[in-house]
Amino acid sequence: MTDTETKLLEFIQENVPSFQIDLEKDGDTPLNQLGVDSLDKMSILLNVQEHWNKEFTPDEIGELKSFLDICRAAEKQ
Amino acid sequence: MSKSTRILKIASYLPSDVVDSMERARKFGYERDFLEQKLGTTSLTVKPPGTAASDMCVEATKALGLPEDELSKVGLVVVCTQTPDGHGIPHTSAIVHRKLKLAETCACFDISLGCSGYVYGLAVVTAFMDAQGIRRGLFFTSDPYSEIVDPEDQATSLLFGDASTVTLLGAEGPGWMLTDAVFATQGTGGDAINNYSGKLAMDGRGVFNFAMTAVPKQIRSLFEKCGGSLEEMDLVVLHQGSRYIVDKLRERLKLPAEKVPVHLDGIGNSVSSAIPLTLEAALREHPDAKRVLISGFGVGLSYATGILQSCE
Repeated sequence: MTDTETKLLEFIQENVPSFQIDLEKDGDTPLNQLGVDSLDKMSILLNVQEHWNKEFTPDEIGELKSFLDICRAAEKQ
Repeated sequence: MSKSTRILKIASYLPSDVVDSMERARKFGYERDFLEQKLGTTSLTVKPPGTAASDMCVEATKALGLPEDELSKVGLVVVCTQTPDGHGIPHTSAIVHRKLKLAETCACFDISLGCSGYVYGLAVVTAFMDAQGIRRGLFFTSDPYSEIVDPEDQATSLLFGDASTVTLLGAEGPGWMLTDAVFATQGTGGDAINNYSGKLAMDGRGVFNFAMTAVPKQIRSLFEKCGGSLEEMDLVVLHQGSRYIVDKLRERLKLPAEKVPVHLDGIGNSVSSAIPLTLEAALREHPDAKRVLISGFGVGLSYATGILQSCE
């Protein structure tokens, strides 16, 4: 896992302690299909924004569905 | 002007009618666990048809159990509401004044605030009473949001319950004084909760991000202003937006669960009544508490935090 992926996994597990992910299989699967509900996603995205000093617009947030979507957004310059 | 006005007692009214949220939740694809663990309730209080904010205030006054001769001494009635009787004219506090048959010398006014209203209101009411030498006051919170919530709206229809509280204030006797408070507003994001269309609309993400970032900062700023520390508080009573918001704020504030009561079960988010309802229950459960932090945040992206200190 990259540093970004490791950090994101940590943020998700703060909200959903049992969360595990096989990136090859589920990296592009919407998080809500992996047991992350809408409130947890809100909290995770807030942590991502604070950690990587980003501000996602509502439209961008709508596009952040999967684990890898969020990683790519976090790494985007 | 010396501060002497303190909270003497809090009483409340919760309508006996309830809405089973599970029925609504199924339509949105939510399970019972989500309601219990994230929202904090599977049912919401709802006022009886044909009643208004002032009727709920009257019911809360009955729960206060003041003898009639004590009621006649009340010199101030303030109602915090954003769902006033009619369309707000006349002000709900005047209607409460009539229904309680209070003295003509009693001052009455309303305060239009939502979830931060109890902290703002306490500061206004206590300062007004101190300045005017009023020795008995009633501060109501009453927001029957069932009037404006659309049952089909996923963002709001599982959250809000109707409730009313009354806080009896006086110049002497054992009680709680608001010793310090700080107030703020993020008006640029103030549309996040609105009633522009006649039905409540809420940007849940916007409100969540606001609460998680602004409230901890404000709490820190309060202690920078007045000294002391959050750890010295016996209880921290946060606005009960949802169980999730209370839990996440508690985690950010690094507070143990036993200091941060959650009081949503069977009620829901009762807007300006959420803090006094929680305070009423928490002080009953923790009679030895001496210092309590209260923090309200929400509508208008208005927020306020204060410290209550027990006094003799």
